[in-house]
Amino acid sequence: MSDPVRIQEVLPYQLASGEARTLEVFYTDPTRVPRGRTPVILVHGIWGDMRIWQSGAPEPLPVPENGLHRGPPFRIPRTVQVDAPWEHPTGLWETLEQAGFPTLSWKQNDASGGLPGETDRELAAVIAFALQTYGSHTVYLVAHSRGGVVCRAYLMDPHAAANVRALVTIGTPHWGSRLPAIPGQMEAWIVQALFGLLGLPGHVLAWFATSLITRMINDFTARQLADFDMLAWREPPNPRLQAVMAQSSHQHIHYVAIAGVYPHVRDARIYHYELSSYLPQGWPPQFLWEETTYPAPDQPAMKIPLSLSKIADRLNITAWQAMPEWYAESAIRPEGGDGVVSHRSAWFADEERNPAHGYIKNYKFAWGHSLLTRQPEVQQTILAELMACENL
Amino acid sequence: MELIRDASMMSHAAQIGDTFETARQALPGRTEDGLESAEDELVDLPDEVQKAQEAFKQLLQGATGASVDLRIVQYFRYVNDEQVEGWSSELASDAEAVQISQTIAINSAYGAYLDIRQWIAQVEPAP
Repeated sequence: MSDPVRIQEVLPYQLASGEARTLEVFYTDPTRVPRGRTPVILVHGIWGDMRIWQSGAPEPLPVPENGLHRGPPFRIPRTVQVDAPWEHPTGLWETLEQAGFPTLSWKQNDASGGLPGETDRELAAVIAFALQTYGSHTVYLVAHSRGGVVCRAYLMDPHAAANVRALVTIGTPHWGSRLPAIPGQMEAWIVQALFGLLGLPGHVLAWFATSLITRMINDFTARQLADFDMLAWREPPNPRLQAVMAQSSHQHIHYVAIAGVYPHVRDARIYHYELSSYLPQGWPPQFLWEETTYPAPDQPAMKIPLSLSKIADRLNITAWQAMPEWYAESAIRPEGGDGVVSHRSAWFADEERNPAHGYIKNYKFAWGHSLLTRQPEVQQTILAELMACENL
Repeated sequence: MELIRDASMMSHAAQIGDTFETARQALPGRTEDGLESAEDELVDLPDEVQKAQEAFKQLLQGATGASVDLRIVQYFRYVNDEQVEGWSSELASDAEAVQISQTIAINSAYGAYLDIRQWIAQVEPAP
């Protein structure tokens, strides 16, 4: 099938509170795929959307702004996470459809809240719709990042698990994620910087600064991150996360874990400012600063001797400086996991507890977290696994 | 407190003389007979710049042990890429030049307002 046609449908579902909600599902036209095929449901990750499964032209990388500029750098030093251009413009969705798999996905209403939040209820609605639409008894679940935990939460119910033949997770943080720790790190830095700037004893500011900054951060990211404390990386993993993993393991389900083992920072854009960037140069006065993408491993991220800039720096680059060892370019992690976002994403709780379980397969690829789904070798691996399940 | 020693600033400082010379040709200045131009006169340093200059001189004295004075030899002001004030004198060829800048940048979704004042001073022994 070279030109897949997808249909859009509004599905009703209920929150735990009983409140009625709807979601928009997009699915392959049943007349365009062979009858009797098991449908595939694509579940995106945190703060994500269906684009991670779709084809499209590579997004151009931002043009570096190197050299002299008429004004001083308004933008405070920061890194910006960008999607690097993927090598293959075909999305996994289209790859699966071309192989004859009816495939569904939806933009989650609850893609950022606690885990599993209400997303597993959305998943339940989509699975029920898929079974009815394609006349199948089971589905395959393919999930990216947090989507894998959502699927696991759905599978904790043994009756629901009967609907699922395989679960493929891509970069799912089976041993937690460092992401929830970032706001806490930011808070500590800001308080520290405020002490230094105002020259006041730490304890005077401690209460005020902490409460104010907590409120500030809550307004942005922590409100969403704090909810999924369950996913916060711990050694050993959070008992609740372990429980989800253990209770969602079923002998009849074929589990495949795909891990990106490359640090996420590879996708970053770095701004280089120096103290003199804020000083006009030459005639007429101009300012010099530069930015780069894909810094060399030994290249310093930035050099800002000003205390005020350091605060902004901390606020913006956050994770990189919080956990340099997790972002080090050289740190390819053989155990699977891309550092900050997804720790040991090629790992299942049961695997370690009972290595004799033969139904878990792990794959590792040298890509960062957000790039995995667009790599042809990852897509072909998923396709091969599903075709084997389908006895094709 | 001591002076900041920063490589990017040091390399920048080496070019102050070039900046002076380029700007001198574009700015109104003293006439050949030493009389100041009537069009644009050197105005007093704003208070905060005056205070910063005094602080710099004290730190410089702490670092070198010598008491110095700074004599302004050039001044210009740029607002939104337009020169609105300018004045230039001469910089002695063997003099050490110092750059003093004051930038007010107001940025918004509608556009930016940039107000850049710059002085170049010549380091001289304090009287």
